[in-house]
Amino acid sequence: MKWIIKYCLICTFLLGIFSTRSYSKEGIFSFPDKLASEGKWLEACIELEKVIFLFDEKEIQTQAIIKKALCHKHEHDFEKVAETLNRVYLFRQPDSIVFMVKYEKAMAYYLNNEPGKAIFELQSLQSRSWRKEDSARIMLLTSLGYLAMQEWEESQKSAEAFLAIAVATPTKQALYKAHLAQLFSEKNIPKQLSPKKAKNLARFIPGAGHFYTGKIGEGLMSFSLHAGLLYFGIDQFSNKFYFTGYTAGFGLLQRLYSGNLERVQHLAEEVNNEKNTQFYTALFQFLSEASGQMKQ
Amino acid sequence: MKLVLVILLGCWASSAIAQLSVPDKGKFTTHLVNQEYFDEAIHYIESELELKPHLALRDSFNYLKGWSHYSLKELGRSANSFLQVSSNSPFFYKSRFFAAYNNSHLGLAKSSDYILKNLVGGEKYNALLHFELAGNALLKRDLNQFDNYFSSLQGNTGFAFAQEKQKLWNYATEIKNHKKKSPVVAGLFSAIIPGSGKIYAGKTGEGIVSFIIVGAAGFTVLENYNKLGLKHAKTIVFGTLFSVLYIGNIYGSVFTVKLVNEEFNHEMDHKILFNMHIPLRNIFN
Repeated sequence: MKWIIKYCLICTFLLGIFSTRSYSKEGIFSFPDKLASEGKWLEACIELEKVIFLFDEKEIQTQAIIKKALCHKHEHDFEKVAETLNRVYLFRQPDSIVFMVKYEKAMAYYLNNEPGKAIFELQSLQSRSWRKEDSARIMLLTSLGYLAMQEWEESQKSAEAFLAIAVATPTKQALYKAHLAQLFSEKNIPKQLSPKKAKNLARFIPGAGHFYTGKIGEGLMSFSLHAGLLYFGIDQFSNKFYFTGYTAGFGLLQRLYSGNLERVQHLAEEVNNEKNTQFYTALFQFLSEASGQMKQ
Repeated sequence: MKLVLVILLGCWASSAIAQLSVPDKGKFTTHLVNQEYFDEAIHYIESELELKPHLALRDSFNYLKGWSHYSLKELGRSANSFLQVSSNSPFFYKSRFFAAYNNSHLGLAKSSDYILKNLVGGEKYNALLHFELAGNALLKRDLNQFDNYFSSLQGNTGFAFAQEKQKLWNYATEIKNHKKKSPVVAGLFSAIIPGSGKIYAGKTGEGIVSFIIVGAAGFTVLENYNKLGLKHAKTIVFGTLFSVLYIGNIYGSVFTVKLVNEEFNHEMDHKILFNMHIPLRNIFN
């Protein structure tokens, strides 16, 4: 009986506390974490925002913001990840938090096709010394960021710095560096075609722009069609079919010619994209393999 | 016994961590809306509404939910939430006006009228009410109704939206003076002189180009017909091509007139709706 009375008194006391704005800091993230573990990202975000709203302590708020950003990351909403992390006030924060926020922000920018912003965040991290694994992650992401910006030299330098940290054995390191040098050799670096040059070539000789982009078959077909229409136009004129020559011959030729100029520009861009993707894939596979060395 | 009580107490305390007090629930929802986390606000409000909160909180929730949907441009849902706000709420008039506006924006001017006409006890907003109703009348292109509502606005608005009132009057005049183009006339014009239907519709450049293309094709057929005769393959091929171009141009002219009329209506609706929106923001924000 004594215990029941005590229990009731404690309950009444706690009810007073919890019905106002005082909340326990113990296990504060257990409910949002549970929701996140169940894949309920939106619900987890709301609970984390509740924590940010209720607690004035900078430490708790920062932790909640980071957790919220990670929820957005799981939802693949990288724009929101960066936006959320921008809410963290980094002044006088522990190094681990600074690293976490800046690295995750850089990753979000990179995955959101904003490599310039990712590099900016990573550069601010490079000026300080971090744990070996963290430095390797910075250099790896920097290399990929420069790669996305087509800055091959910078990408290679960062990849080399990554290998120097990630691969421990000197013999293996030499092996990986040689492979990297081969990947970045002049032969392998995708040469960017100029859409303007392709257009100018097609302007003088129809089909030449296609040859420049490597599409020989299409180039031959384009040349034949132009030649055919030109011949038809001249033939009709010489047989005194002036309107037929003008309309069906030169009229169609003019349409084909201007369409062809647009087409070769598009082709040059398409070929550039294809080449870049191939190069990215090769380098990405190589760097993934090298990062496996770090885990060993 | 002691252990059981401690465990029970622990469970109760940990569940209380996620709970907010009633005033904090309202403040937290406002915080979500102010931070522009509209998805989160909507989800939170929906889960809270399931708990059937008391009326004042329910009104605030519905108002904030309506506002979140409105910010996400989900106007139908926004109107539904706004309409749930009861007359006891300080947000009642704002919610009703915005619900009506959302319906106007969705092309449901009649529903909008119904909401506005059933607003009772809002003498303070009488001028705004007539202004919005006049706007709806214009959206329905009911010029008589517009004149009725607009005349009751005379000398009634003060400086709150005098400029918008003038603009609404200008739009009404523009609609009155606008001569609707006929697709049949455009088709007939293009059948007689290719391209002239498009010029009639107001697309002079397109009309001239169509005239040149169809004309050139026509002369090509004529040339082949004169020199090779009707049964020659070349005449048949060019004749077929010309027919396709000729008929296509007539159809194009009819389509252009419809498009031009739609463009005019769309542009007018956009201007009217924009104009109806400004006083709402000025008065309620």
